Amino acid sequence: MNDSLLVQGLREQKPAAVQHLTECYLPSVWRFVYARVGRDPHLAEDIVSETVLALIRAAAAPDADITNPGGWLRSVASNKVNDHFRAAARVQHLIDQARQTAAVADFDEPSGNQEQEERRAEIRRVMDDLPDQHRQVLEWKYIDKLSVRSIADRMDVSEKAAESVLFRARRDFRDRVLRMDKEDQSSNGPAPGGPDHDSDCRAVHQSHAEDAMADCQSSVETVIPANHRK
Amino acid sequence: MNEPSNYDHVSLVTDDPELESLLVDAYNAPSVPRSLLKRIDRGIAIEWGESPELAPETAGRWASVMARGARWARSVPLAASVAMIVILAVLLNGNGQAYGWASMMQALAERGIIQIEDENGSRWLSLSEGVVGERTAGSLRLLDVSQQVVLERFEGASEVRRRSLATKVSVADRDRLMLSFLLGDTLTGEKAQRLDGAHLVDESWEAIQVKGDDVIDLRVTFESSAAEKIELSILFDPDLQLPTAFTSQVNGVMSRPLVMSYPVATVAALREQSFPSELLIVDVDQDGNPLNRIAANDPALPAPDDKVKPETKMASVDPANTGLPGTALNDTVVDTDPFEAIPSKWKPVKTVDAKTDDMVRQINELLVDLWRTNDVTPTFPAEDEELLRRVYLDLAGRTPSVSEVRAFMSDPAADRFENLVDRLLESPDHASHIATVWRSFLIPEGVDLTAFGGVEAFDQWLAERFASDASYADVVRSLLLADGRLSRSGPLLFYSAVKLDPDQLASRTARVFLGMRLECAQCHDHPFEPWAQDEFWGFAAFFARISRPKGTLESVSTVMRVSDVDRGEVMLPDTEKVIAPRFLDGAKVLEGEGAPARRQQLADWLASARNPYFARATANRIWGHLFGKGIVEPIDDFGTQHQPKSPELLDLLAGHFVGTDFSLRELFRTVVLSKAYRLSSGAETFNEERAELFAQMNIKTLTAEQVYDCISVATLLDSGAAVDPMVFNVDRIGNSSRAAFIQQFRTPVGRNTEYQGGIPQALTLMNGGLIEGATGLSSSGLLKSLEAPFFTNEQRIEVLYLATLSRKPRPAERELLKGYISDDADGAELQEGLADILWALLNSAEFTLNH
Repeated sequence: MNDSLLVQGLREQKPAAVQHLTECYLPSVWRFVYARVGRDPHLAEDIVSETVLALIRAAAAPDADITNPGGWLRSVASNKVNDHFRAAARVQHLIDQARQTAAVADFDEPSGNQEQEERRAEIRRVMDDLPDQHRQVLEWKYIDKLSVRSIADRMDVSEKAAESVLFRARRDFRDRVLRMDKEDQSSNGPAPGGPDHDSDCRAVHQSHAEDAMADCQSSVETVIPANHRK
Repeated sequence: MNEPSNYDHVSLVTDDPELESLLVDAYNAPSVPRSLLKRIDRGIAIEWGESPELAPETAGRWASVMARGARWARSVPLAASVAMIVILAVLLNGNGQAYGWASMMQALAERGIIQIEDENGSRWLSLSEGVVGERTAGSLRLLDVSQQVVLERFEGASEVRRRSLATKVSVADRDRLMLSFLLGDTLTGEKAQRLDGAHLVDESWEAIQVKGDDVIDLRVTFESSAAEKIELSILFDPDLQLPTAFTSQVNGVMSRPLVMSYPVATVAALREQSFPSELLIVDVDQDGNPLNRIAANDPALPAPDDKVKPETKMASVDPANTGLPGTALNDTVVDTDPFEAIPSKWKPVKTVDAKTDDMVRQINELLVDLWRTNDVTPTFPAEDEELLRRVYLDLAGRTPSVSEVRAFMSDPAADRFENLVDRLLESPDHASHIATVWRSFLIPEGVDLTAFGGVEAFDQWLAERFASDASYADVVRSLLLADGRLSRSGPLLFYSAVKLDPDQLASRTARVFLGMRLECAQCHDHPFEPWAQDEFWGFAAFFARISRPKGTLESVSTVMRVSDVDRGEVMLPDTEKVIAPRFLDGAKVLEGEGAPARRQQLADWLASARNPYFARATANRIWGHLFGKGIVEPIDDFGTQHQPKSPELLDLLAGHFVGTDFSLRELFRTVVLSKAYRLSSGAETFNEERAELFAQMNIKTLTAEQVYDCISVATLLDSGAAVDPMVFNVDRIGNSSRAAFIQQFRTPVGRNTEYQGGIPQALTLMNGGLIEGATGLSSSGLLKSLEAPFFTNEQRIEVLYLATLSRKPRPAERELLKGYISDDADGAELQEGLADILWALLNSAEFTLNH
């Protein structure tokens, strides 16, 4: 089922279209929202269900012009997440107040975890910036672990064409990650360096040891027998 | 003929573990919750007036199966359950739609043993190892797909019957293995063929309830080449995250549900339980007729001499013409001790005394016979540019420079290719390239040899010998007899790399010089080749009398001297039995007063014409290097399981190698001038057998060393080259920037016809320091040379193509690039455009492949 058939199916209230929608696009939008709302499953569920139902309603309109339902869902979900945080900001004083009276949770993370989390966020940002098709095939292939054939079926293209899209998507992704890393590096400056004190010391010690070993060479040579067991 | 798109398939390999782990980690989220599906379902029901049933409350046929499945779950120890959950949580976590066939297969492969019981008995499968076990009322059977053998044992019998697997299935073909396992097909029976070409055509899943428990129902449909339609409905337990039961439907005929369980056991343990190693193994053909009998090493069994010596049929193509075990059966009856029967079939090669031209003619004739016999039509001959690039890469490890391409293409001589081959074989680049190739298998990967002089010393030592066309037998003898201080001798690295261990030295020596993988016989008799454990340790005994440190090698000084000593033995593991040295072909070993040192005897035998393995293994290695695949494949696994594609060809090459006093240079020359080497890597139609039988050149990936050297040549990285463009030699040994690039670019060791690179390699090529320097406007020697005013822009582009791809741009490419750099472009615009084109060419698939 291609995207236009999907939208048409939703308009005609076909259960198969909803099945296709939940199979192909729901996991992706769920992951997207879940990460954006700080891994709050309840909030994510609210936003995703509202988003999907919004698509169902939008598709029902006779003049609906939805050519890319996956991108549409993501875009609407993103707006809803932003709406949520704007609304939350307006009542922040109440949230803070509630926190003061609630049990204190330890949210401190070791810096390693923090860095890891930042890295994940960067990767998600890169994915967000990719064209919809590239992002979607990468998710299907590497997160949902679909075969190229299944991806081709979902895209309604040949397997070869799906492979090509996947190839371009990977290249696009790598380019962007690399560019991002480069920008990070240039903003951080060079790493501190210094003389290799350890290796100098090793060299001195080794020189003394060699002299000593040369003297006791004969005792080393008499080691036998060899019984090697695995 | 060889459009760049021909090579794209290599880059399009979609498996990318780094990318996968990056994305899975970044999107670490739980599965789409069932509650969300219910909410959407309810919302749609309100909009449409009816529910699309996204989360149906269904139960039914699975209820009874789940009840039975729960029994094994309770019996799995807690630790195993935790392990299972952890494994599958990693695989299935965070993915909204993780219940797919592929993820299930991955989970099962990592889980270990899967077991199914039905009315006929029980069967188990290890997907990762490609082993299937079956137990029925009267027999036990084990199918080892990686070794392509079937072991059978019938009730009451004291022997194990072994035969080759009739249906060709590889371990990588997991879908086929899994399907045959689930359906109860044996891969050996009548139904074996019905799964040929089976591929997934549809999959879906839904969350359902069985007796109030949430479970996942994964439905998959496969279709095979034989138009069989196989539908499976597999139940996942969401708590255990493993499939617990399934039903199958083949062409509409449904089977009853079966439970899947996961015993805590290993393949080795199950194998030993069903086929104890002390049992006799009888080789049989597909009809069950005995071929040969060998026995495991068990003191309870009679000594080999006392064994029954049945008349057995031995495999042979034509014993009169070749000393190798052959590929077809004949009725030759051999009455001999089975322990030595197969190795003793390997007669020393017959010396072939022929000139190069005559050899090439004979090779061509044998290949034509091989193709005719197998009904294979060779592809068309390679074009000059294709052949030129190939021979440079194979013999000199680099692409030709622009001047070298132009010189070859404008040479009117009829024998210009022959002359080029001679020139390349005598060049320093050939010696240093082959030294690097040889070192890659002589010295195991990942061993730090810095303290012993580093691999450069070894490379240098090898390169000097190859440069002087020293007899390869002498080179090998020098390696085996190396002595002196660890830090001062290049060849000693062969010993220090394996820590002077007799067992490691034995297995390495056998593998690299004799093309035999003996290590399986180290702890027990080789399960698939007729090598007994005694024979392995008998070979290791040759290395027992070498001075070696008491502690680990790392803890002693490099001034320690390695030499032969007059005592030292090896003993059979877990016994006190001292094993005497023994040649693999049974030749006599001299012992006692006045006998040469064991190492000396080994070196004399190993690198000699009377050794039946050495010349063949070397000839096969050279062939494998040039064609990407050996006449025996894998190139270092000669034996009954891997027969030569043409025993006659292998013996002819080996005989010539012996006849030229083991000259590698002559062997290279002979093979490179053969008709097969000059065939194209392209063809009108795809035919796997054609490439397998050398009727079409295999496409090989460049090694890290070759990539560096090619970039270095293409972009004139080494300014010294500009002095005389016709004498271009790559600075390989002791080149630290080259070593750093290789370290970064290194890919896992594998067949050179398989692309092993991943993100690090791609990134290094796209943006690494080397590429940046090579394509930088201020640093690139090539780009600087193109600033000369007498070039037209079209000529500049042509130079870029010649430098990188060793060919001129095709009309379509010229047209495309004209749009990028117009005829009147100049200044910074032109420079940047040329730099971009150079970058694109260096990153093209065509550049990183040897075709």
